[in-house]
Amino acid sequence: MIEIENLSHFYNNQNQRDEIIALDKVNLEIKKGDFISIIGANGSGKSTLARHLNCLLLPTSGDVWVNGMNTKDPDNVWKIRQEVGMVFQNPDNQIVATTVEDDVAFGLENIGLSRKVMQERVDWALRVVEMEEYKKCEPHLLSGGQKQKVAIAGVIALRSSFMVLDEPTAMLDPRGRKEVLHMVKKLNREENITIIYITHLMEEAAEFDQVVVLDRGRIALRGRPQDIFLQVDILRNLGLDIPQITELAIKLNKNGLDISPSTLKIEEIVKQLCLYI
Amino acid sequence: MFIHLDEVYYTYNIDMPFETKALKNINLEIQKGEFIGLIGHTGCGKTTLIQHFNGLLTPTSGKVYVEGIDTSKKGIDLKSIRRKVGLVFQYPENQLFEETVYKEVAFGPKKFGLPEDKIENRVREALKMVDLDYNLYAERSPFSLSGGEMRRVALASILSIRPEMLVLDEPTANLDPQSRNKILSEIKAIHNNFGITIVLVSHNMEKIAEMVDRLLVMHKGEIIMDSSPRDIFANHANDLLQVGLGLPQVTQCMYELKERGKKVYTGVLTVDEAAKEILSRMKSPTVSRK
Ligand SMILES: Nc1ncnc2c1ncn2[C@@H]1O[C@H](COP(=O)(O)OP(=O)(O)OP(=O)(O)O)[C@@H](O)[C@H]1O
Ligand SMILES: Nc1ncnc2c1ncn2[C@@H]1O[C@H](COP(=O)(O)OP(=O)(O)O)[C@@H](O)[C@H]1O
Ligand SMILES: [Mg+2]
Ligand SMILES: [Mg+2]
Repeated sequence: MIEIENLSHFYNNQNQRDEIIALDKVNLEIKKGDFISIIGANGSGKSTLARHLNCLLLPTSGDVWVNGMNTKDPDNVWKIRQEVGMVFQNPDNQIVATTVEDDVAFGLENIGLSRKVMQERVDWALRVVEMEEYKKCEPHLLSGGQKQKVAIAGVIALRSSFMVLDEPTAMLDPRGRKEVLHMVKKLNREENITIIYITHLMEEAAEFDQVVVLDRGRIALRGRPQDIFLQVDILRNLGLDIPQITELAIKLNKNGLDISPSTLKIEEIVKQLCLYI
Repeated sequence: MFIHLDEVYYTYNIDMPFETKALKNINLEIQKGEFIGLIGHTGCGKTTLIQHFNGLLTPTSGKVYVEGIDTSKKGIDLKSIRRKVGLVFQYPENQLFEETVYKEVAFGPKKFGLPEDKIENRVREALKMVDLDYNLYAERSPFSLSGGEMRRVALASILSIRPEMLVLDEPTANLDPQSRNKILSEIKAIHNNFGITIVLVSHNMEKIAEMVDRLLVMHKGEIIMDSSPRDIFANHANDLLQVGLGLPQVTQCMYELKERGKKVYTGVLTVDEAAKEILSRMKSPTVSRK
């Protein structure tokens, strides 16, 4: 479990007198097995929040607890980093080795595993992300989506129970996006890994069990996507939007069709429309 | 003709173990005033291609002409090409290097000799276009910004040059939805009002469908389609999926209705078009309304 209590984060700015308040007394509880997306305008504090979850940043005030370990305690840093894995946006910057399996093994090298256990972990992680046939492959030959899956394998090889992904699909083509989304769903459902997924794509956020909406360093909304994406005006005021399919559903509903305005996915709208066409 | 590529090939790391043929036999003409979309799977060569438009890369074989000037020729005025063709990079952090946002956005106009007293206005104008408050951001370091803020600064630093052609490599990838819409409509307005030629590289099928007049589809270093977005999305869905691409959500919805035996036109590109199409296909409007 991750507990965030009254977390504030101020950045000092060299060229400016004022401090930047990136997070302002945030309270949030993330339970083991949660499947959460975080959305919010540029600068609303999403990446700052993410960096607090594995000690890349420490609170200006307030606390973050990961499985009962406070991130402020220096003795916890390595344990927390092992518990909470991170995947970032640029697939190329995350790859360090010359083969896929070495890349996945890289993170394991510091935690004192035997050669054999390490190899087992790597094989297992690559199997889970459906990349085992690429294990001898040079990472630079992979597609963007495949590179992200290798980065994800690097995290799960550590047996992390939390995974934070900061715009992992921002640079990917549509197939790569589908692959990553499929993968985080699978890790959540089959391996019970807690997923915290930052995105600017509303149709991606709609795929999660919960959506957290940040606004200028505070949590503005939290709930199921069906309920969040009904609040169209509020979302637009916060710099956000609704999925294109939801927009279509709302438009058809206004035109007198009995289509639910909280329709989020293509298959849902198609099912409803088949009654009419 | 503004840009002309004639049998262009480009290979990275020639004769080395990591040799990559990134472009193969590209033939392309871009006229002044066009609004073109460029899509393709990651690694298909989009970034490599557009770097040829301003002479940042020159072909391994073949020719690139910018307003008739051969970019491979020795001694040509690359500076004037760079002023004509503004390129916004895919990874903004690779484009930024100055100490402050102001200096970053002022860099281009300064380099191209705009008088000092005009520069501040240019900077203000460009920051306004990308929705960054001058007073809050001008003195900040570009490296202390959030991903989306960095992206805006990178865009502003090209807009401030006022190029004749704007080439945008995934310009909205890190922008929140409202900023994405706003900045894309600014770009559309520049295109409409000043006749600026635009090439937009994007993985956002919804926005591509809505905005561009002509769509290029790349696959493994080649241009495999060059047509209107309506033609491509209406008639080539399967080919797009084959090459790692997709459809706008509303177009996908039409395809799925069609797959279930419903008679609908699949060439819808926007929510409005989809709603209109669905309403016109209803079995019996009076019975089925709620
Ligand atoms: N290293 C830093 N130094 C100073 N200010 C920073 C730093 N990193 C971020 N900020 C500021 O803190 C605020 C929150 O930034 P953060 O990166 O968390 O936003 P975000 O929600 O991830 O935005 P985006 O959607 O653009 O990625 C912004 O105002 C940003 O300018
Ligand atoms: N600087 C480089 N050195 C070597 N190979 C590169 C370089 N940049 C790109 N490539 C390779 O060229 C191909 C095309 O890449 P790129 O133009 O970046 O594609 P896209 O922009 O469509 O994702 C890919 O196989 C990529 O790995
Ligand atoms: Mg961020
Ligand atoms: Mg690219």
